[in-house]
Formats: sequence, C-alpha cells, structure tokens
Amino acid sequence: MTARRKSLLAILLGPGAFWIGLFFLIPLILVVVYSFLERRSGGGVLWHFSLDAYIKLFSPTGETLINDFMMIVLRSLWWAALTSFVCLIIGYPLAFFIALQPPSHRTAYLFFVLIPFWTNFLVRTYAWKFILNNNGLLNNLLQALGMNRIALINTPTAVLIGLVYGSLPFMVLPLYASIEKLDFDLVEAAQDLGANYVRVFSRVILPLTMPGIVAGIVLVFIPVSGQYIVPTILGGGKVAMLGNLLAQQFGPALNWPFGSAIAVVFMALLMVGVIFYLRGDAREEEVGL
Amino acid sequence: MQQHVQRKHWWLAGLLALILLVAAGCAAPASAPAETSQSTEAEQPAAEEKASEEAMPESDRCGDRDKLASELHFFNWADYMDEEIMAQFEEECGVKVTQDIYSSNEELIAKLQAGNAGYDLVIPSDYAVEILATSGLLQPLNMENIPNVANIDPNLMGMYFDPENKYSIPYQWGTTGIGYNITAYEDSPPDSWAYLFEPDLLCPHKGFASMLDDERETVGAALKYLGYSYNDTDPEHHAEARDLLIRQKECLAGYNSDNFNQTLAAEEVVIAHAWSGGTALARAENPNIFYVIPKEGGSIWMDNMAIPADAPNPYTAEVFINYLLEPEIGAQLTNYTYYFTPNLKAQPLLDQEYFDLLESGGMLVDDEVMQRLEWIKRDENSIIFSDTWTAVKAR
Repeated sequence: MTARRKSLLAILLGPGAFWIGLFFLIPLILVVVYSFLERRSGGGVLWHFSLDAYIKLFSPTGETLINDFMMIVLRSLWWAALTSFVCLIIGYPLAFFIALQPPSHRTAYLFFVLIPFWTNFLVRTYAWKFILNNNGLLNNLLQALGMNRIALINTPTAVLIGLVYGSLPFMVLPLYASIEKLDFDLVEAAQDLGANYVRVFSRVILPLTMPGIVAGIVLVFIPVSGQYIVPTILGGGKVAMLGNLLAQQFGPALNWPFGSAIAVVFMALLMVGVIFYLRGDAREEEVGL
Repeated sequence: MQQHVQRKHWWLAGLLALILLVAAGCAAPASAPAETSQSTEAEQPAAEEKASEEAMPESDRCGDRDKLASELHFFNWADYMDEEIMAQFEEECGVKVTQDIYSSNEELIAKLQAGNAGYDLVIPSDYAVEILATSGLLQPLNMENIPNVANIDPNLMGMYFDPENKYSIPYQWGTTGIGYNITAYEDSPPDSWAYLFEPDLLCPHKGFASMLDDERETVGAALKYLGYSYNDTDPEHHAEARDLLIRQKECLAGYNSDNFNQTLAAEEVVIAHAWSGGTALARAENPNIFYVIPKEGGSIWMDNMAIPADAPNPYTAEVFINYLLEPEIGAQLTNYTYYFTPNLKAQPLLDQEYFDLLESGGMLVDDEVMQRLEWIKRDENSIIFSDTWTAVKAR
C-alpha cells in the first residue's frame, strides 16, 4: 500500500519536480557557480576558481566606502521600497472602495484593475512616454490651458510614475483579498466601545488586513527591484537600476562572473527580507491555532 | 485561521501565475526571433520559372543552383537591409531570405555563443568580428564563391580585426559624431565636443540633448574631448572622463542609441551624439538636421558580413554575399541605409539624391575628416570602459 502510494506520489510530483529542477534549480546553480569563476574577455567564463567578482563588488572606491555597483544595488532597493509605499497609499483606499461595493459590482471593478494586462507592458510604458514627453500629451494639455510646460520625461519622477503604474494591480489584488474578508462587526464593536475613526483604523482594520499589506509589498517590491524597461524608457537611460546593471554586465561588459555575483548578492539581500516575512507568517499561524 | 492561511496561499499562487504571464509577455519580443521575420512569401514557384527562362548572365549571380538551400536565415541590424533586395534575390535565385533583428554587437555575440542559433549570415561590427573569430564562432569564407570581393575598396580590406579577411567582408561603414538642428545653433553651428560637454554651451539646451547609450562610444567621446584616444585605458584619464560625463548628465535628456534619428527629426532633441547614417535618415525627414565630426575627432566603424561556424547553409550565404556585392545591388543597399558603401563599383551608381543629402548635411568623409577619425578597438583592459560607464549611470 505504502509502496503504491509512493509511486503515485512520484508520478504526481515528478513533472513538477522535473520542471523546477530543469528550469529553476539548474540555472540558479549555474549563476552561483559562474559568480566564482574567472571572466573570459570575449564573454563567457574560464573554469578557474576566483573571488574577483565579489572583491570587485565590495571593494570601496577612492572616495566612498560603497562603490558605484553597490550604489545601484542599494538604489534599486530604495526605489522598490518607495514604489511599494506609493502603491500602498494609492492602492489601500482603492481596494477598500472595491471591497465595500455590492458583490456583483466588485467583479467589474477588479476586472478594470486587470484590463491593462491585456496589453504588453513594454507598449504601455511607451504610451507613458508619449504622455510625459516634452512635446507630449500632458505638456500640450498644460500649454492649451495657458500653463507652463513641465520637464517630466527622463527624470526620476517619470520612472517612479511608470513603476507605480505597472505595479499597482499587484498591490490592489492582495489588499482587496484581505479587506474583503474583514469582519465589519468588529469595526462596529470597536466603535460601540468608543474608539474614534483613527483608533478603529489603527487598532482593528490595519492589523486585520496586515497579511494583505505584507503580501502586496512583497509582490511589488521584488519585481520592481529588478526593473529594466521603465528606467530605460522613461528615465532616458539616466537612471540605472539593478536590471540595467545586470544587462550591462552580461551584454557590453561581457563580464558574466561579475553579473552573476551581483545577482547572487541581490538574491541574498531579498532572501533576508522574505525570511522575515515567512517568520512573521509562521508566528501568525501559531497565534491563530 | 487555518482556512484563512490556505486561502491566502491560493491567491498568492494565482498572482504569481499572473506575474509569470506578464514576464513572459515582456520577454516575448526578444525571445521569438521567428516572429520578426520580414521576408515575403510571394510567388516562389513562378519566380523560379521566370528566372530559369531568362537570360544567361542572371544565372551566375545565383552560383550553382543545385547547391542552393531554399531558405537563408539572416541576422541583421534594424533598417539595415532593403527588403526589395531580399525579394529580388528570391525571385532570381529561388532562395527565401528571412531576417531577424538585433540591436547590439553584444546581443549577436551572446546569441552565437549560446550555439545553434540557426543563422547563415550575420553582420558584426569591427571589434565584434575579432571576438567572434577568436572564439571560434565564425567559419572561414570560401572566396571562390565570392568573386565580387574584388569590387571592394582595397583600403577597407585587411583591417586590424581580420587582417586577411578570412572570416569577414565589409558590408557598410560609417562615422560617429554630432547631429544637430540648425535652428537652435544659427549663430555658431557645433564644431566641437564642447557643445555636448561644456555646461555653458550644453545647458542652454537642457533636456534637449542626448548621448549614445554605448559605453565605448560615449566614454570614448569624453576621452576624445579631453585630448585622449577612444581606446585609452589609463584609470586617471577615465576618472576625468567620468567626472565630465557626470557633470554633463544633468543637462541631458538622456542616453539614446535606438531612435536618436527620430527624436532629432521630431525636434525632441536639438543636439545628439549620433551615427552618420541615422542622422542622414533624420535629415531626409527634417532638412534642419546637420551632422559634424567634431574638431577633436570622432570614431569610424565598419560592419561586416560573416558566416557563423554552425550555419546550416554556408554555401547559400556565400552566394548571397556575392549577390550583395554586385555593383547595382550594393548601390541599392546604400541608397537605402544612408551609410557608406565599401564597394568601389557601387559608388558611381548611387542616387544623386543620396549624395546631395549627405553632402549638404555634412556626412560625407573627405581626407581631412578621415584624419580625425579613430577606430574603436577592444583588448584585455577594455573592461574599464564598463566600470566608468557604470559609475556615470550610478550617479
């Protein structure tokens, strides 16, 4: 019986395990291994053990303790945090609004949130370029209204707009999922007991929707930190993020070990964050049980 | 609570699937070369009949017909091949040419390095030929199949990157300098890199200037302005160039090598670090656009036809190379690209319109200009260009 069960388990899990092994684990191992090899000047690697890539990443430059490479890595984290924050500020009221609608309307609103995904992200980012350009839609509108033109394209602001725009659905959906489950009797109870609006929100609503907030932040933070398209198109290539740095190392610089090392260090940094998230989750389950 | 946790994981999985879909959507244009194929499927059988009925001289342009494959896979830069020529070749020789597009030498190198790319003909630039050849990714050309190589300017043969032209034959060449809109510079048209690097000349046009997004060209231009070589790898000189570029960045619209011709023509920028042919394309649309090789010097480059080591149809590729070197085909190609032809016999056949546009726009290269042009080369120490470039982008 157990043998049969085992073989059944193997059949059911086999394809998934095979897929993950072939397309996730092996490439991941390759990246880690490459980061410890020597650079070949025409691209690719030489199979000699070397710590050059890590030394290059962590050695301080003349003036500053943190070199330009680490600066881009840290900046990507900062931008990702900023984007998550702005998405949360915009997304929370929106998700709350949708959750308060009658059930029949909710589907329609969620549908509107998802509609942009029907068009390729690259195309939508170019659309933003047309809106924000010096001679673009927004500036023409401002001019028609008798106002001054504003320089938006190729600025960090334009990049932030693009990042927030692209990530908002990933924040709204998990927020909606947790707000929708919120038991409004608890809100009423708090009000009956004399809590004002601020207190109701901070002591009841916020803690109960925290899982959605954390999940939304994770879902926005991780993809944004590796963004490539938005800084290239809306930042005019002036604002480099992690994705651009990696593309440069595997592309023009032909320095695969260094690119791999950057990816490994970045994964390690993200992993720390995710572990914190999972530990929080585990604690929450314990409390629940 | 248990149920709550499970539900959360359910939609988390759904969202992850969504992310994957989006990611796949983003990756699609790059990873599906077949979709960018640009050849027409037009009347192949009819074309073959016609070709075999017609006169004899046509037939030697197709080599030995029995050895020709029915398809040729061409990997090329954007806007770098007249599709008419591919259609003519198909009509004449019965070979359907499909074209995929790449946007940098590095992209080409990466594709060939991964192996089994399936391409028969590629167009690497000078230094990329050297990298590909020394990595064993190109195959030697059989010159017996390419007699038209005799049409090529001997001055452009035997360049440093392939001294015996064992692996490559010149395709087109051009220069890198400054493209500008004369309406913004009526009093003093740019003649120096200072117009892009000195704040008092550049910043009056803040937000309307662009540099190429290319570590070799852009760091090289800064080095050149400082009086060094495009190929200088001295760390102190690079520190100077880095500071110059960081200072410049504040007044730039951005770094753009993909469509500076469009932004110049549409007057989104008034001055741009630019390639000669791209600027000529802009000028064809907007007659206010001019081009100059700065007095400190600019760069010269050449793209070349080469056959990957694992090409499925090398013979057909050689026949096509020979076809492109026919005088009238070569002229047709350069009339289309607005760059320069290495083909001496094609030169007199170029349209008057082409010469007028390039001459009035300042793109033609005479001996005096040639003195100021420098080739970009790559060696072991060239990695410093990436580091300098990263430092500029990090600020």
